[in-house]
Amino acid sequence: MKKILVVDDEEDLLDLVKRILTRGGFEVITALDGNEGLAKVYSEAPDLMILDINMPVMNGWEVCRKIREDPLYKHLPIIMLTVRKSKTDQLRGFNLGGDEYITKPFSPTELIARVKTVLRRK
Amino acid sequence: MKIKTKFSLFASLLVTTLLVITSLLFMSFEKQHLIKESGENQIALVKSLASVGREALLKNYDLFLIDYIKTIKEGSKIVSYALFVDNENRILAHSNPELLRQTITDPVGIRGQATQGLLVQTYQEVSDQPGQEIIDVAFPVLLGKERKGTARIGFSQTVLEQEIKESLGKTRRHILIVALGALILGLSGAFILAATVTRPINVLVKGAELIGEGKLDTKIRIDRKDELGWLAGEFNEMAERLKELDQMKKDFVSSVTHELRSPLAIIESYINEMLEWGTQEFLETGVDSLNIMKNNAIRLSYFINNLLDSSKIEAGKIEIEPRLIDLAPLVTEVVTHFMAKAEKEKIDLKVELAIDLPRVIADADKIRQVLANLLSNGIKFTPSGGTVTITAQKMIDNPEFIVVKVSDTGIGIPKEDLNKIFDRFHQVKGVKEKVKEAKGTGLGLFIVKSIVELHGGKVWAESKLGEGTTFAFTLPVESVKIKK
Repeated sequence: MKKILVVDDEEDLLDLVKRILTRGGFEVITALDGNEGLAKVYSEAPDLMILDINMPVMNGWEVCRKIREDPLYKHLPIIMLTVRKSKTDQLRGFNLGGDEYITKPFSPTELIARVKTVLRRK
Repeated sequence: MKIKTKFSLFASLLVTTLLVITSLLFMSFEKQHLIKESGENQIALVKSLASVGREALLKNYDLFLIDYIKTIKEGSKIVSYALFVDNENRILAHSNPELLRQTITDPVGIRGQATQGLLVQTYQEVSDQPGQEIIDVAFPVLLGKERKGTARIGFSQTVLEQEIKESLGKTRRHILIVALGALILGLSGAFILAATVTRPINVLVKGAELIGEGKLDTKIRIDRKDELGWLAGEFNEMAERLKELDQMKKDFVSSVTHELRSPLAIIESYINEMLEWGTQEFLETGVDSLNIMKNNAIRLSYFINNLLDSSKIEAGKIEIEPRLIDLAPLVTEVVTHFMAKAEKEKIDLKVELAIDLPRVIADADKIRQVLANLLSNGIKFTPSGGTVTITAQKMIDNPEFIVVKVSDTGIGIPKEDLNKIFDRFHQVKGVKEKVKEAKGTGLGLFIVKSIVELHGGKVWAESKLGEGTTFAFTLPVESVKIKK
């Protein structure tokens, strides 16, 4: 079973994503801020990470940058999941090494489809 | 006109005026001095002629006297004539040898001969050179008490004045040269001074223009310890402050956007999930989802209310409807609302209300908002395991008010921020990196302060970094009239 790490400071949203992915047949672990998320990448070695951008302690951009700089984890697939809809933010996400960019609100089926696509690509 | 030009013009005008006044004064003193000096010289000359005449009388030897008179006449152009008469006014020696041995009969001569001391007479010469004014100075030669003769010298006032004029003319030329030099020096000095003063002003102007264009990173560099240096410092501080305000505005807009979008996104995402569900899933978790959606809707409307209130306050349009109310049920209501959240964060919520708490005159809805804002802050900034306590009691030093305190064991507020936290949009720097979920727009405490002050109360904060913060506000009890 593929392990997915979801990092988001909105607990309600975290719960929803967790429920959807669990129903989709994934093992899900969660983190409430960027720092905790980064720690869980190292300790849990997930197969994919879903990352919010606006978070306290460490934001999503920073987390993404750090992972892409890490020789061990730089190939970890990352899906940005954020309320930021602008083209500039999307481009920034891709430039920092994001594999997918999904905006909130999202549709559960679409989320699962994208997760599967990214995992297949790798 | 540029300051440099004005300054140079003013300075040169000043220098010129000063020079003109000094020169005029100097010339006038010089003239008086010359006149006085020549008067003294004239008397000395007559006295010395008298003493030569006395020697000549004593030794009965006129030749030396005649010679001396000749010397006097030739020695100075001012001397019109010089003569020596005996006690019968007969000329013993004269600068005009033709007049020798003649007796003097003109009134000036008679008066001069008759004098017992120094006599100065002025008269208009009648003879060959009409218009010449002559100063006749006479001095007697006395042997014992008897006058033996008189020395007289006539000085031409006209020639004297001409000589003084010539001498003054020379002085004037010297003054003019010096004045021209001073003027040039003064002017260039003024110009250089103006340039050194205006150069930093130009730097200031350019800097201010850049700041005005919105380039708030501009630093005006003037290393001077004077008004201009201070002014530059003020400009830099102003730019710094503008930058802060600008950043505050940007932060505000971005957090407002985020605070509006997040709950909406959550609600919509849950709705999406429900729409894609079958009956089985709905039965399993549908009610939970609806509750989550409801909470997020409440959160959104709470936020929008804050936003609206803050703009109403800013426009001075917020109104309160004070009534006589009990505080206790209000506190309980708000605390109950935050109970679930506190439990989840493992924070202890305590309420300590005095038993004799009087009723207050307040707008229940608004005070609920104040308490909710303070409580929500307290929980937000307190780590798990901490405590947030609400107390209310009569004020000890002013029984017409009660004081309500919300104390937490949270991260505390830096001293420099304590008096700014009630400003609109103000958020303590770096706090978003320290604390989970430190979102917000910097409006809450601004609203708290405004509402409390509308009630005639006061609000303040005390804090120790790392130990916790206490927010306190006062409300009037029933006996106090409310000022609107």
